[in-house]
Amino acid sequence: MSFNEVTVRERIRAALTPRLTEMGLTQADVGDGMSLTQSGVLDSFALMELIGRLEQDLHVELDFEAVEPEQFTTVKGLAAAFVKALTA
Amino acid sequence: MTVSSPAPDHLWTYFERAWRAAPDRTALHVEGRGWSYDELAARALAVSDAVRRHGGGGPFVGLHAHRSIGAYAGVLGILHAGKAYVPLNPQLPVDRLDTITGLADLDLIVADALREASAHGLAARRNHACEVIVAGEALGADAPALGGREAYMLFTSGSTGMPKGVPISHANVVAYVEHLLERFTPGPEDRFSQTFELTFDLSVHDLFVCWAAGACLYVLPQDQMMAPARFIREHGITQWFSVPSAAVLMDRMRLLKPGAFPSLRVSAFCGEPLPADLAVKWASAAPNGRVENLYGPTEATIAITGHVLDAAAPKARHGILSIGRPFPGARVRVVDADGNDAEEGELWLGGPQLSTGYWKDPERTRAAFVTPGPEQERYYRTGDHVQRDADGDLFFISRLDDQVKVRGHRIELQEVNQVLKAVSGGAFAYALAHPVRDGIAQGIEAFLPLAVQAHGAAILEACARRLPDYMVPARLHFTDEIPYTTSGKADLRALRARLEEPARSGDR
Repeated sequence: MSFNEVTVRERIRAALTPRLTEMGLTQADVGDGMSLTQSGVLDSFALMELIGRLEQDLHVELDFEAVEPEQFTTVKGLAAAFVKALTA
Repeated sequence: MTVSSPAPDHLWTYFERAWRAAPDRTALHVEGRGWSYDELAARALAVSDAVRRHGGGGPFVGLHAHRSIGAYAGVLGILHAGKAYVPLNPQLPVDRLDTITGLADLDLIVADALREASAHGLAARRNHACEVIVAGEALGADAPALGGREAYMLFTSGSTGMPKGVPISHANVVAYVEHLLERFTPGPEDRFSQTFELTFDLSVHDLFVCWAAGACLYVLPQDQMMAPARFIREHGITQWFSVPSAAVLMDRMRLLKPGAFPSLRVSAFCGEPLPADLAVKWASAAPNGRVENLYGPTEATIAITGHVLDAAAPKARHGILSIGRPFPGARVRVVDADGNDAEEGELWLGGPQLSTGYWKDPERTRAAFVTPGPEQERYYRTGDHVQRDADGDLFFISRLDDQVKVRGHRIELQEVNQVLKAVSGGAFAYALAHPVRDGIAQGIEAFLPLAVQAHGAAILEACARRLPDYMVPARLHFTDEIPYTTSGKADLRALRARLEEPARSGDR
């Protein structure tokens, strides 16, 4: 199975859905470049849980040394980090 | 320099000594640039000048600023003017800030350049006159500092639904700083982290232990708080201080690799239980320094007991590292249910770091600050259940009441319940800290009646407008079947057990 940023973004968004429903939000409310932590969608622990689940699903580990901290709090940045790890 | 200097009676004196000794040395690194002691002093003196010209009768001045030059010039300037600062963290909901502004009876707010408009918004919500000063580019002239009793007042979660103000004096903080100068032996070459919000008293350690040593304070930008590993390396941080949660996150990101942080000389943790295995991992990542676990409630100023990790043989109970022994000058009692000294019981604290009590709240002050026996010594009852071993080392075991810690923040579950009931209109609300991992609570979940289930999202939204984000439940559960104990109280243990079960219908 091959992944690109579009398919990984879809995975991330699917994983976010339960939380968005809980908050009365829709996917349209969350922009690709919006910080999930600073906007209050997820706290830092919930974000790490989400990343952990995606790592298991995609059978890959992110290199947090290489990712800018402000990058992996957005859908876009996280997808890019996963694609980089998957194609490494 | 500082080691031989006598203890001052004003926090400004710590800063001033370092400033006079080396005016060109960097005091602060914030928003991507460095500020020398001279530059920071000039900004602070301008704030002081404006505060003094405002006059005002109250002892407190609000500080509406965040991780900016204005925030640090604001702290120093307010103190120099003989007033105590009350942090009004822009990350808190406006309603919460409004409550604090009212409780502290603020007639003046110092704002940084970015928060001028929202400070005016807060001031406008006051019926009586409340003015705003901007800590901007103005430079003030040298002038002697005015004396004042209190240095700051912080608001902690209160069980009746209203936050409690805890005033802390210059003398309280000086007692702490004097010990830390001996304990952590900081010097002008040190580089201190500044992770804590000003609303958290551990930030006072960052600022004043650093400046008392003539060292430089490195303020973590908000977007790097989650993964500060790179920040530590890039700036060669030598003195790290954070909640254990920060280390938990770094560990999950696999960033605590052996030797990762060679620059760290002291790594201190405080604010919540420190898992022993996490502390050992951190010690291997910071092989050139030591790891300290500090403990203390806001009421006893920053921290009042401490323990140095022995990585080869960590001293822990239930996997949680010891909180160690009292600082010199502090008094500690472990008191059982009958009021007798014991090896296990409630921790009582006394000594020069003790606050006078809750602001304008004699009733809650009487309940928490006690003077038992004929010796007339004042103690603060922490509500923390501890054990003491034969060496005199203390171990935090649990809370005796409904107070919990989420990522270092102190939360009265009763306060969350009150807000939940008010915004939902439901007959009951029971909040719990959940999940708890490695002894650290990760968030709040709450039980509400089925009747309000349709409004779940709106209830959470209303909570977010009234409560700090760490007090807003991450998840609501709806049920009409609340288990009760024989004394008629909701059986929180049974409710917690339900949360451990796999997903139940009716949850959202």
